[in-house]
Amino acid sequence: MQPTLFIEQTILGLMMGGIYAAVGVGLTMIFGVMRLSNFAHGEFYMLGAFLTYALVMALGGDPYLLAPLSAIAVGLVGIALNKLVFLSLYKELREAKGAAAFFFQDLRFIMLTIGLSILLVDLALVVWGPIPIAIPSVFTSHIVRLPGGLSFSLARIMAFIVATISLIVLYTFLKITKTGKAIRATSQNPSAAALVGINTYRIYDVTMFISTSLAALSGSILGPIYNVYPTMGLDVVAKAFVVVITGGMGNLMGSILAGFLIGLAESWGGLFFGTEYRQVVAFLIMILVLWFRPRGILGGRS
Amino acid sequence: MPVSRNLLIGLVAVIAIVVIAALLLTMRPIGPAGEETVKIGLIAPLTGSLAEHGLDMKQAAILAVEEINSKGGILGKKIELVIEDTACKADLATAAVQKMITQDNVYAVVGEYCSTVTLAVQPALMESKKLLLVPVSVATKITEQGYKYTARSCANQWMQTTQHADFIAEHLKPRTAAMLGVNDDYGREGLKIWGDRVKEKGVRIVAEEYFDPGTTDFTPQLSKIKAADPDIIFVVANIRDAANILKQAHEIGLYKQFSMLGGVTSEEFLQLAGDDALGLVHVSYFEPTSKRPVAQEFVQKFVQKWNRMPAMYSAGVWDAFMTLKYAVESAGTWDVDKVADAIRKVRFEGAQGTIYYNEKGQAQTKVLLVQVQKVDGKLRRVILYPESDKEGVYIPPERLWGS
Repeated sequence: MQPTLFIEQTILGLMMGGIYAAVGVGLTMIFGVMRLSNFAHGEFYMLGAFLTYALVMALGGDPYLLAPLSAIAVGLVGIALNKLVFLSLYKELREAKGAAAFFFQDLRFIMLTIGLSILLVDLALVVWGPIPIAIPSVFTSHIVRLPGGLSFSLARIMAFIVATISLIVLYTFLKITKTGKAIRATSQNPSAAALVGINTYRIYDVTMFISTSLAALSGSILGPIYNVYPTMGLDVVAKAFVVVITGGMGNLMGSILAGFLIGLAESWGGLFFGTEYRQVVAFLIMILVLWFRPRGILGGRS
Repeated sequence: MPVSRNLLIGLVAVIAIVVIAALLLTMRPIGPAGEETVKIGLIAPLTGSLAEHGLDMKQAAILAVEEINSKGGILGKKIELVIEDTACKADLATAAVQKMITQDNVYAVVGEYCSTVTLAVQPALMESKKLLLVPVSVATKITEQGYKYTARSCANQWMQTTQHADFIAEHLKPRTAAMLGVNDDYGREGLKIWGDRVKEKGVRIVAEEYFDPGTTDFTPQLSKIKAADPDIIFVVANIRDAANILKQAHEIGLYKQFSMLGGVTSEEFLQLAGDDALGLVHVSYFEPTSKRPVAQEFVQKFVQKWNRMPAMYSAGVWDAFMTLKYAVESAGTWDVDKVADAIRKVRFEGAQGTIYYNEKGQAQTKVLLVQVQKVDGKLRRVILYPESDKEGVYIPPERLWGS
């Protein structure tokens, strides 16, 4: 095997891993803090991409500059949906089962998020149509050439950097700030958090904001690379769940590690066994991890 | 007793809804108008990831029905179109077709896009003696099974892939080739037929890669192909994936001759892929630039009605409806057995060319081979083959991209 091929595949795998991690982290946060599995997570990724496209059309400029704006807007949509769709159900379930209720075990939440996913995909279909849209960006056409015949587009490198930076920022936010600590406290023990005066419903809003805007940011920075279309979220959400489960459900660091692990495993698996087995390799890793560590590589909620 | 009162209110509401729904359903125009119209079903993926192609089909069907009806219908009967979405899912399609058979009592069904769906609905339609006019699905098996009431108005997978492979081997003369396809029966069948055919002509296959449906990143596959250094790369993918494949190939520095099947023939593809599509050689079932009068008439009507250029799938649907029209007219009756026989005897000028069917109901069409080139600063498909339609000469990738 040529060494450049191996190096190229490794770099590509790591880049893919960064994106898996960014999408997976949002999903795992919702799971850890709110104890909810959000099957509509991919749709916020899709909304982010479409909103960036709409902003580019309306304001002009480059999608990579407008991506943060779109991420914040989608985050606010996330809060609005959280208040409108889920809040009354949280309250009802908490009254019935206490503050530590597991929302993901409740069929109503599962159906609500699945329904939300279908609704948002169809909404995008009505507003933007089924035909994939290319978002023009100077970064996608600018190609960085490295020695040894390696080359990558600037957009892809940017996507990796943005994903990594936002993960670092998020991690520091959770470790240092008061809100971050409150989020972690709610994740560890919602009843105790409520006892010490944390408004857990507000923490849910903040978590929803972070999770959905992170998904939207990923969609916005990948949209110009892969084009945008209504079902793009469905294509990533399955992989995001694999990442979350492999990393340990609700474990932030676990998801980041699992994202990179699966990105690399897919690349190397494709290289050694043939590219038709990429998907198989990803799921095989998940099964193996669950076999030896049922709570994920770094452990998570049981 | 609040519980029983709630129950009562609930019951009344349910009954009221059922009654209103039943009234609405029975009030649909079945009365006198029903005698004069013949219902034709269209099944297409109008939602889901293939919705763009479903739209091509739906618009062509509406146009074809308007065209037929404006000229007095077929044998004095107007056509009424019943459209159902399948989302390319066999279970949804089976339910839709079941509804078309029992409730709408359609005469024929035109569809589908996905071969798996067409194969799934085929038995039910054949059993209830409904015509199945296949405008787009290319799986060879659909017509090979020899069902009397099935006819396909486009070239099948085997026809287009072998005609494509022959052209590549004889005109582009590569020594080595790589293949990249979607990891399902469409992709696997395509790669097998193409690979076997070019191998017979002395071309060596140096890489065979697959990607799963829903993949957006193809760089791992392309990087392996780059390392194998082939003269030509044959790709089986839909337009969304194909555009990404070309874009990402150039991103990682893979500037080789790409060639694809008919699935990428559309304006949307050129828009999506942009300059990355330059030089691509692919199959086309239909070109809106075709100078044949029937094709020009179809293009003109389509643009007038929908304000966009018709895609290849639109031409297939149009020809399916025209097949029905000419077959019923030549049979002189709506008797389904006589019409099925008539389909195998008609010969007419369709949007895709001269249409005539073999004994199995497979249209014997010749595909075009085109290359994406820049004409007056705009991306265009230039017909390379056959000689009769030729619009330009092949430009090798070295001349487009340098070495």
